[in-house]
Amino acid sequence: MPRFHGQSNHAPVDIVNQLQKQYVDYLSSLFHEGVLDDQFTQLQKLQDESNPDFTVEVATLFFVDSDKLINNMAAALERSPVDFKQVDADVHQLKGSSSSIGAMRVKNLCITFRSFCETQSYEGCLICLQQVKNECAVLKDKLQNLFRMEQQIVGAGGSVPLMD
Amino acid sequence: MRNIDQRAITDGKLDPRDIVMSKPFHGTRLFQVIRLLPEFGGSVLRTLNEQAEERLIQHVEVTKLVAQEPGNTSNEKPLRGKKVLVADDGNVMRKLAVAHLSNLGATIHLCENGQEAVESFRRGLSEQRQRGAYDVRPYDYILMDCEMPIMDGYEAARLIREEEKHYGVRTPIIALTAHSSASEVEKIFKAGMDFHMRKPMNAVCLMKAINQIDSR
Repeated sequence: MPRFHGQSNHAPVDIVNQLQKQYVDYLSSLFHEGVLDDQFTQLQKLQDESNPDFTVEVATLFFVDSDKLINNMAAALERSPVDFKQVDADVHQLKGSSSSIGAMRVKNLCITFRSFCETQSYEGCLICLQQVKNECAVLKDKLQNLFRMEQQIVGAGGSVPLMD
Repeated sequence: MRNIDQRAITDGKLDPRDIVMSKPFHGTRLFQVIRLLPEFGGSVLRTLNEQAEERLIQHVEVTKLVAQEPGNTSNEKPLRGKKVLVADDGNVMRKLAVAHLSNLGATIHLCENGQEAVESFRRGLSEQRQRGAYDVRPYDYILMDCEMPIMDGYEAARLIREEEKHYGVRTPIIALTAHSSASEVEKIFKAGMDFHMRKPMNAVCLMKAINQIDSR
């Protein structure tokens, strides 16, 4: 492969195209399955030369936040008596941050979770907590895949396609 | 425009509507072409378009000049020079607010709860007072999350309005809320806030709110 002075190695065009297509297919499937919603696209639009890692940074912040909140909820549900107001406050925060990164499934689970806090249903809260935990883990996994694919595209000399 | 080969026109090699110029294309010749453009008072644009891929006319330079016209870059940073106080307990929200607001050109001051917001506001007011600027508000806009720990947005807004009474200023406060039920909206206005925006925030809604506030 010819090297050009001052430029990184560019993979053949069809490899870049293939990587881009795989990326678009994967991201489309995430929208299709309801894992992500349009808010995620809004986030990607905020990424530019002055903010080149914006999406990854926001996602990282989200998982730091969600891990902390989930631990708080678990601890609150283990106490006796359960402070449902406190659990609700944490779920409210998680709902807010999940909706702002476009994590639709997590957000919807939080809505259900809040109604169980309101009715002070211990069982309901436990089930929701488990579901939220699982969903956040799934989201983390999928986003890590997505970001890795972005890195591959950029590493091959291509640009990450933006969904519209 | 000189040096037209008459024979080339009669032979059909040159369209008589064509503009033919000698190289090098700079100085007076460049200005002659630019003056053809409607933006610069001319009216022969059609002819220029018709010879789009010309080796004779360096189109790129002309379009670059047109792009540099002040009108074309209007309002890219509508909040340039504005100071915005943002109070939100969510780190993701704060990061989003910073991204949106800096894209719009604003300077941002972040707070994590209502208490910090009130303190920042008080500090801002006393700094203005020291400078002798009594009727200038420390922030042009405040974005206030309604539900925060330690002190929520409603209480913070009430306290800010109290402070403002002594100074005769009024800072526009935009409430950030997850839901916009009628009772929620009523609570927002009762606390003295001016506008409400649903979370997650985006630049379009924000500018809409600001334009509405500014036009009052």
